[in-house]
Amino acid sequence: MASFSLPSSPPLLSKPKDPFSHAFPHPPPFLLRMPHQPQHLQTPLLLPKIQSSRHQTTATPVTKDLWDNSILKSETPVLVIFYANWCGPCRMVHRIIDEIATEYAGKLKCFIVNTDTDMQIAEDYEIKAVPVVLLFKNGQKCDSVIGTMPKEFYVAAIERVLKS
Amino acid sequence: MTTQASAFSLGVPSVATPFRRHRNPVTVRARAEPSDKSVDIMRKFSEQYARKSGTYFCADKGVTAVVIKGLADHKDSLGAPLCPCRHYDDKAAEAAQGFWNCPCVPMRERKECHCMLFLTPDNDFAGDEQAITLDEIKESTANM
Repeated sequence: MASFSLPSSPPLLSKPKDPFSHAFPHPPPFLLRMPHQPQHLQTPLLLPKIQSSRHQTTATPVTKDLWDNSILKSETPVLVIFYANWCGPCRMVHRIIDEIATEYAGKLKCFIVNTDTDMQIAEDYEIKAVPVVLLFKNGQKCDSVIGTMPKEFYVAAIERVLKS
Repeated sequence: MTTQASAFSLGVPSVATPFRRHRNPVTVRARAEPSDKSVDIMRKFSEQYARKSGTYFCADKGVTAVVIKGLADHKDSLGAPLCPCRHYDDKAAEAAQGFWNCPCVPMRERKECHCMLFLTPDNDFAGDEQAITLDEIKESTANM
């Protein structure tokens, strides 16, 4: 399966025009919508409720305890984004993934992992630079995207996984 | 004397107060926020380094603001502005080693900043600014 990690080149696709047409459906300046609250992710049992208070279908926080059931045993394909508390671009990608979670509801489950609090998962998957997006199907990791990409890049990767 | 009185006059932002330390417990208690002092140090560093390297902040300055706060947080906790856009097994060891202290080696050698703090003008995400105010940082990270 193709992998789209780009370790040696800048993690941005070159698109000549209108780079924010997909990444920024809203005007860009200053107000990042931040559905995840880094300081409050340490209570796994409460997380789904907190998360769903905003949207029914956004990326759901997942921890080590829930990993096997949520990701590896999932019957539908799974997308996981790894982020760090103070990583600015992670928030951009998180926003994109939240949109994707809504658009692919029922076909793809989306989760987020805080690498600052869930170090074990980060180490298991050898996460270094964040954000990282991993795609799983039938319990197998089948694609990874490192860095910040335009939305259609993630969508293309997802489509490949869904069709495989 | 009068200095005491002015030091406790709340609500008036005192200019150049020598009693800054007294305010720290309040911010520390609130949440794991970096100190104002470190945020401002990293803000100024970012502006200077952008100009020096000919790079620009992200068009979405919310990204810039979060990264500057992340650098300040690491400066407070580790003594060095370790890159906030990586995962480390051992942050203290990494900060001591120095490779990922801002500006990191890839930035200094090749102008590569995957944290999107310093973007070359040809980057799609680059804006056209090399300055960010403390207010902008506070505003865009207020609801975190």
